[in-house]
Amino acid sequence: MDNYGGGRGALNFFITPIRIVIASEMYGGRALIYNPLTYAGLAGLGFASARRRSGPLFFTAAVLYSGWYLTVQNARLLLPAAMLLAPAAADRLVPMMRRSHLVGVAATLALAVPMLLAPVVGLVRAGRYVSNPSTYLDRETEHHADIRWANTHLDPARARLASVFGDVAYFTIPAIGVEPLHQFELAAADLTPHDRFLAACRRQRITHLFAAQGEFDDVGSQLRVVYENPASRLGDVHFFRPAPSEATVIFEIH
Amino acid sequence: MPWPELGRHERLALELTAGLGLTALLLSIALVAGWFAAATPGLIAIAIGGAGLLPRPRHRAAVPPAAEPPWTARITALIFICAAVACAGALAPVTDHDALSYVLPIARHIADAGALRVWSDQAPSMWPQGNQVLLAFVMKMGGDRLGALSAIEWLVAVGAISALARRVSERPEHVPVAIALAIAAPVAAFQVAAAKEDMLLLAATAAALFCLAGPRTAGEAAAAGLFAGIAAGVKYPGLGVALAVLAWIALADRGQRSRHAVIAARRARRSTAASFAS
Repeated sequence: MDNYGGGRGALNFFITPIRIVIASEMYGGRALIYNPLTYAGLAGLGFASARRRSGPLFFTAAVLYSGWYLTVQNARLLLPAAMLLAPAAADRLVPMMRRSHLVGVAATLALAVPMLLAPVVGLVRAGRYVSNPSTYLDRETEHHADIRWANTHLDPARARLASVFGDVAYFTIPAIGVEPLHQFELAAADLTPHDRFLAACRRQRITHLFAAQGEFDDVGSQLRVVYENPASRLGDVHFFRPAPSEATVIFEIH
Repeated sequence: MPWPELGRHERLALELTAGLGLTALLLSIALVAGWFAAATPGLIAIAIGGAGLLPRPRHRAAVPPAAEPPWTARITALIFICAAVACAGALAPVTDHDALSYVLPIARHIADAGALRVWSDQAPSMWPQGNQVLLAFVMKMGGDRLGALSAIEWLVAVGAISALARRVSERPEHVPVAIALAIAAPVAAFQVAAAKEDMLLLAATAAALFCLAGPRTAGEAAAAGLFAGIAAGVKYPGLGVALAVLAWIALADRGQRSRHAVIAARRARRSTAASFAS
């Protein structure tokens, strides 16, 4: 299905909710996880009153989790299921927070810190944009300087660009991301070896190729470099840390 | 629908969830029929006609705010303030990788073609396109801050979650904790201005389950079906919501299960159909 998740065995079905928290990188990363305190809602299954009140919520969460488990195991897609456990979790947590001062402080912190993350992210994004709107996309998206070059130097009537990077929205020239899950003009089997890939590109009237430096060295004789960027910025990879960069190149396909 | 236990903002959130879903449905019908160019006057006419013809809801809160501990209302207000401030990020253009990989390109295809199709350079266009249809409409109207749509959907989702929590929580003072548990997470923080479908799916899921957790009436079943259909029309995991809602009505409402299940199924089918019409 894709590269997310840790398998689909019977035992894994039950331990995956824990693995999402302790090995989040397998499920799309920390930025995509929901609040694990919602798991406290599962304790409600042991109380008749909670089962009566939240029965449809437990049932729907189970259906959503099962569907998720059998398809794309990206933690972000479990947000609706986690949300459905939240009322039952609150019913279990609030009495515990009242009984124990320590639990109360810990739970309050565990809720307040991620609650403040949303406004902080919103304000930081807005601040970064307002500080210099004209360079915002260069700073905050992937490879935007390269995309700008392609948009201003390639003829949209003649050129069609294949990008090995997925995000193609800001191309104004015809462009296609070659990730197999994102298109069906090029089959997964067409992507390697590179000879076959270039033949498939020609078949689809793709004239240019946007890739990482060195990725297509083995078929260099069939390509002509038209643009190089030794430090193309990956602006959305980290939000609070400095953006990494990579060397990129745009080829014309002979 | 008489939902007297809800606050004004929660009722508004449920109405806006239905409004966004039905707008996506109407736009999808216009796209399938080739009338996308005429969608704006059509929507304006429907909005004006609906506002004029529909009876005003006689909403009175059955539980006066004074019945709740004052700190509950204060914490709920703080949560909503946090949610509203998070929308500031929608001032900036969209930067989310997934949105730039397929959400916005599909919306651009819809806006340019004025039609719903499966595009060979965008395989995810085979999935429901409810949110992309809304984005395409914004693009067609000249809007370029597409994260504003998901920011609105985020606020609507918070309101719908609040309604759900108010209906199913043991005590009113548990409601703000339930809302915080549902939304206080990195995934929510980074999705607010991402222009993706997740926030509308969240709102529709909360709204569907709000109806399902209420009194077992034909009206609640129909509303649950409508919201479940919206969920299914927005993103493919929403199909699980629709299946669960129908299964729960069929299994749990033993007295009137066939009638209520049929009502819910019809509503779900209507609110989903056009998103799959391509």
